[in-house]
Amino acid sequence: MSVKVMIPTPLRPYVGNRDAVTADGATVDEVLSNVTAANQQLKRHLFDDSGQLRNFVNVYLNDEDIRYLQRGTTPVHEGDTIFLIPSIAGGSSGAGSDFTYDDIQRYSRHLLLPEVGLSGQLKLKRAKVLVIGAGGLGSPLLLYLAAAGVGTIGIVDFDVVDFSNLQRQVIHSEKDVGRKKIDSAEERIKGINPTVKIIKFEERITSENALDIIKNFDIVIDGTDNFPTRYLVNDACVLLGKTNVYGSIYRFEGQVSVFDARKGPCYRCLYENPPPPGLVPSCAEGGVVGVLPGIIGTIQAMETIKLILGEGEPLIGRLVLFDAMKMKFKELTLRKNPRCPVCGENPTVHELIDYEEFCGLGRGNELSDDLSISAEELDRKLKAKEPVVVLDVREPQEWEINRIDGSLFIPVNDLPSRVSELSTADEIVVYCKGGQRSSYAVRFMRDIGFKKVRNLTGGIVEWALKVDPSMARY
Amino acid sequence: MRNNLAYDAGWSLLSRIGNTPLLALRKMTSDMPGTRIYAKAECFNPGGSVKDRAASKIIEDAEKQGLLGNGRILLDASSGNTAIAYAMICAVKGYRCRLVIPRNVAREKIEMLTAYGADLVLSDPLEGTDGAQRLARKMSEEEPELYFYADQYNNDSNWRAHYEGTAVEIVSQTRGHFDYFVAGVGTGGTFTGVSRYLREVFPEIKRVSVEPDGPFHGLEGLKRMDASIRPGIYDDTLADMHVDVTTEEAQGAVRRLARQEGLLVGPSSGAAVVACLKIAREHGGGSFVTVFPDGGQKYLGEKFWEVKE
Repeated sequence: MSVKVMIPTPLRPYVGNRDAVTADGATVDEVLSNVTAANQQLKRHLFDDSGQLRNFVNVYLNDEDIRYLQRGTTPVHEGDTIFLIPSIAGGSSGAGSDFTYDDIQRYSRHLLLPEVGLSGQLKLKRAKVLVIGAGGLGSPLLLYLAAAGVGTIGIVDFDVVDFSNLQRQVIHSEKDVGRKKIDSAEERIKGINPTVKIIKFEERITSENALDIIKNFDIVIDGTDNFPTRYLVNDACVLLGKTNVYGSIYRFEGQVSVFDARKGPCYRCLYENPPPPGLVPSCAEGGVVGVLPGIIGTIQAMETIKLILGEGEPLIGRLVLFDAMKMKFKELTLRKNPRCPVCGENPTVHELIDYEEFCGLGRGNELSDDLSISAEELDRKLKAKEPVVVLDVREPQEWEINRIDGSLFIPVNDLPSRVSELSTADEIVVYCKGGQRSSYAVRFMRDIGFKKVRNLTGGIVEWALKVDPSMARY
Repeated sequence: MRNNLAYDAGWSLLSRIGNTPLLALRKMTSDMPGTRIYAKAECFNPGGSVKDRAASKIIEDAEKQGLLGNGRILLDASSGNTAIAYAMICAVKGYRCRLVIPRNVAREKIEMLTAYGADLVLSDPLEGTDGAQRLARKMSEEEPELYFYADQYNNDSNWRAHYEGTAVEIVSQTRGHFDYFVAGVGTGGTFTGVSRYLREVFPEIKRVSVEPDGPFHGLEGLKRMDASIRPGIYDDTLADMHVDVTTEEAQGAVRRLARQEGLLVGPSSGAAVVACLKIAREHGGGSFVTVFPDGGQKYLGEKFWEVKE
């Protein structure tokens, strides 16, 4: 077993002024006796006349004092390092803080702030923050948390970088398109601050793994934009007693708050139930201005850093609403709901549930086959000139990008007031971008008496893929 | 309303620095007729060590020269006791202080410094106090406007604290009736300051400097001068004699002081008393005044206490 022995400055003259030597041995004692066997000077300094290690010499194996291992008989392994440290006074090698000179340089602007200072910077270094999603919100979050010196950052993401991400997900570069987001993010973080410890979870966060992933972190930041994950993260944080820094974005508007059920409301106190599926478009459907996640994500990062430092007034019990077009911030006071099913006085949720189902996205809520039609079948019907009315329920700007020729256009939110423009006698096929909003529309129309309405499975994305590859995509 | 001034109350903490007792060590010399050893028990300072003296003088002089204040941070390297003294005094006076200490100082010291609210920068444990000193100097050179670099190793206020304080106290406590002044050297502040004063008023008193026997030692606060960065304030021409002490000898004396004199002190005090005893044996007795730099509480985790005697 070849082991490195680090030599303290006063003894370096006896080993050719080197700061380390290597030696073989199976235990600490064997290694040290091999190091000193051929070196009487070194031996005299390290051992007393009876061959015992002098009592002010503390020996560390890697970072552990061997007094708390098996002393001299502690076994060593290939690649281990032994430190010989004179106990200038008691001598603990790594205990307490571990702030280095490089840290002083790097964080000097933080250290000047009385609210941060060295003790605050150490809190940041010891903090463990989990960022769920390395996308729009995750990008500024990860960059700023890493730059600020948050010591351990967990990232949950299973996606790959897409060309359409580059407009706002500034942690990824064009060269990263097609690469795992988690790897691309890691590379960028290491480039900013190599001292950050990154823990990667390359998986979708689910009811099965959420508690295990979250439990080792102090603060969780939700950077996802779907309701099942939002409720899942909220409930997991309430159950584990963690703080959840929430942010959401849509088009030109954003929301930020800090949920800590121990001190204030949780996400379910704010929104007890999710909206019906399809009603609220995601950013992929409704669009988002690229700067917006930068603004909301950096507010989340700021809140996270305040929470770690224990300084200032966190957004607990307050919801900040941001409108980029008006350039206005509004603040709502949130109250803890005593009847909240997860953090209220008599909670009914004691473990994680099926959030897809809860948000109406579970299999039981999918449209049955007879209410759906594939892109190929619709194409065949149109080519055969069958009398099919194709209804586009997307937003106007989506309509401008692409559309199925000859389709009617009524955005989903206008449908209740304009449904009279349609006839229950017609065979109708409804589509949106991916099939989510259109299935909401199909359900609505069925409920009010349209018997011959069906949903285009996979929406216009599927249509472009299967039927019209020349179509512009978004 | 009663007049508070009539009571013995309301002392400022910093006014308790100095005027430490000069204790007689009777048991240590009970088998040596003709030998008397007196020790300035510096653990009675409010920060627990002799370093309160140098630190308070350094800070007072810096204040007079306008080097502190305006948000400037006091910066220095220390193996612990000076750091504790700075931290305490800065807490009283409302200054920020940033201290570079080798990572292998006792955990108790790190905890004390944190308790006083000081900023800590830990330097390479393999490089000891010299490494801490190099790092502090580098930091001050890079951001001179940010720091007041106190530099205890080269700051004349350090030895002056002993010239104006410790030495005067010793003379008034003894009227100069002793043969040897014995002090360990780390920064050399105590030895240089006291010796300079004694040379002026009682030049016949022999001045003895004590060092560890080699560069690799366990005597906290002391330096082997020929193997270290030499402190600018240490004047070894003041020394009539040099005595080397091994770590093990000093540790044995520390145990005896605790078990026979009821005096819990650190290893550098052990080294001081060993040096006195060595000279007494060699020269057939004598009367000694030495300085015990600190108490033993900070060293209770050390292995040498495990020995039964």
